[in-house]
Amino acid sequence: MEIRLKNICKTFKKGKNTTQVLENFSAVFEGAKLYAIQGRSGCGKTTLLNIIGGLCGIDSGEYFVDNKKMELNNMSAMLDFRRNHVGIIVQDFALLADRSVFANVELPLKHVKDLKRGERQQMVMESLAKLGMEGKAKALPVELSGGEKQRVAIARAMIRKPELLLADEPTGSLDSYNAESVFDIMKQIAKEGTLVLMVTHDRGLAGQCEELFEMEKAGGIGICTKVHREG
Amino acid sequence: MKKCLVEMILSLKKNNGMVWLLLFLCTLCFGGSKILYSYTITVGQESDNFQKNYTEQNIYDIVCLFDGGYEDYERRENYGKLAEWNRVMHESDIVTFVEVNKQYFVELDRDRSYEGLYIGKNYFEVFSTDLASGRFFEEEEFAYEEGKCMPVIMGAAHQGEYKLGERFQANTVFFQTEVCVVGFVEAGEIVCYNGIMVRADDYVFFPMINFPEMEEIEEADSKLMYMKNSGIVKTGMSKTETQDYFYQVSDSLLMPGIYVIAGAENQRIPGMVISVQKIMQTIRTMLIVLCVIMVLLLIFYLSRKMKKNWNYYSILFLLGFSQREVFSVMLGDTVLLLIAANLLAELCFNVWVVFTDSLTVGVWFNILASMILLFVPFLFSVRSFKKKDLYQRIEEEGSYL
Repeated sequence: MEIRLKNICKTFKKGKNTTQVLENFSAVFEGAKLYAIQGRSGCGKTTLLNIIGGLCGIDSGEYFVDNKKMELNNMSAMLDFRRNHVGIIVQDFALLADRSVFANVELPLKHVKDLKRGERQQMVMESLAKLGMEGKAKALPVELSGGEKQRVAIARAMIRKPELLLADEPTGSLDSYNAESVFDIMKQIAKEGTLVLMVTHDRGLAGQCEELFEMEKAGGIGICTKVHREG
Repeated sequence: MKKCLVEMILSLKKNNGMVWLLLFLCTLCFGGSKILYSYTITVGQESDNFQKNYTEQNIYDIVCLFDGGYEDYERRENYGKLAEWNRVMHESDIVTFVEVNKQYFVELDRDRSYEGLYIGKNYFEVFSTDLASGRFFEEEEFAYEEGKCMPVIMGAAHQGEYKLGERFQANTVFFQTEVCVVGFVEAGEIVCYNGIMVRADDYVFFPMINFPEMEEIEEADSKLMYMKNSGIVKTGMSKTETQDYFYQVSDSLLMPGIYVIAGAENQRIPGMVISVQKIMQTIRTMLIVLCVIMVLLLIFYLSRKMKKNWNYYSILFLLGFSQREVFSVMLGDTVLLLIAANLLAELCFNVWVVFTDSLTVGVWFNILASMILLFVPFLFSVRSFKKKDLYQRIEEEGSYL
């Protein structure tokens, strides 16, 4: 998969205040690689992921996926893209506390039509088994450790085998041991053919990624002006 | 849609206590208002059933309200009041009182039962009924004598089976006696019973016998007293005016107002001073207050639920639910709740209709009531949902779900 962003501008309005987060931002993410995106708080890393994942629109600019132009302000089209091609994991896991691990992982399959119950069960268990979590299928999230929760979140994000995985601080709530473990999973996912974009504050992990993007804030407002790419 | 339905049901299960309270109150609201509406239109239609006769006067049905004091009138001292009521009604210049009461009787020779109408002296005269053959009842035939054959006039439908002058044994409402056919009503004649105009063809008419003398009272006579004083009244007055007149007569006789005009809004409940009209007004007011409380409760419920569940909605959005789907999950469990309440209310309403023989009301009422109840909470939900864009919530850096 290739993701290309060209001159993206994005502002947020809260009451009378307007915050410009991205201005003329351009970047290319391609291939089955693990990208690390770093930058100070407020420079627009999460906004960037949300734009790429089709969670929010833009003020201006262009967005291409595999050379096909995406209508970012067409929520219906982006919803379809997000459902079928994108997996998302976040820092605080985003698991539903009152559902079992199985039910949590099964959620993305609700959008798939004509999927029989047996097939659904099989897909869920396979996804959990890949991450060594098949034994915890009936457990509630509260019964899991931080590392286990993130594995469940990854299993959920990957259940439909998306070509793109967006990870916003996936190791932010984990200790170093679990952080390494989760990072290894992300590397494996990238090796298996998924484009992985990972926002992280962890310099050590970022240094292990195949590609590194750095974003900055300039002046009094949040503007991304510098993209540094290291081979 | 199925995925949203599953989420709605799970959402309902999470808020158990509040859900049960809302279910109970909504059922009360819907059921109560539907019953009230049914009562209103039933009473209205009953009044429409009364048709004016040729002289442009109104014909009203008289109903006897048994207030549990039936046995009171079996005592001799009260018997006289009922007899006096009968006399006053017959002598009145204001109303034309017509005795008529329906009771089954059994023809013993053929072992069959028929619908009998026990009628007063002026019944056929008031309805200008024509006979195909035979004669009307004579004055002395309204005074019962033991051993004497009781005359009957039959509707045209019985003409094939019975003959003029035929006699047979019958168990009437009063006693077993020999019965003699003295006439047949012209086919297609219309008469009145219970406020409804009916064809005379299928009925058998008996004379409503006079009250026996005080010395000869038996227990069964109390039934006769009630039968004789029920029937219909023809008058130029409105129902309310006629009801007032009835209460004047009962008050003057120092007896409770047990005889009322069907459908009159100023009926008193026996044993109470208050009228049916006042009670209905009170119930209407209470229902309106309940509806207002329901709307406020629904707003509170939705507001609390939304505040508690923004994270949950954001996760759904993250996992590929559209904003519309998330909104339908948010509001959908309330809609399910209202559907359940409507079903329960409908069940209660149907039971009420069966027992009271009232008019039924269509499902449109439930839909309209639900829309009215949900209108303001729905607007509130839309406004709150729009104010809190899900993707903006997700994008707040460092403050994730």
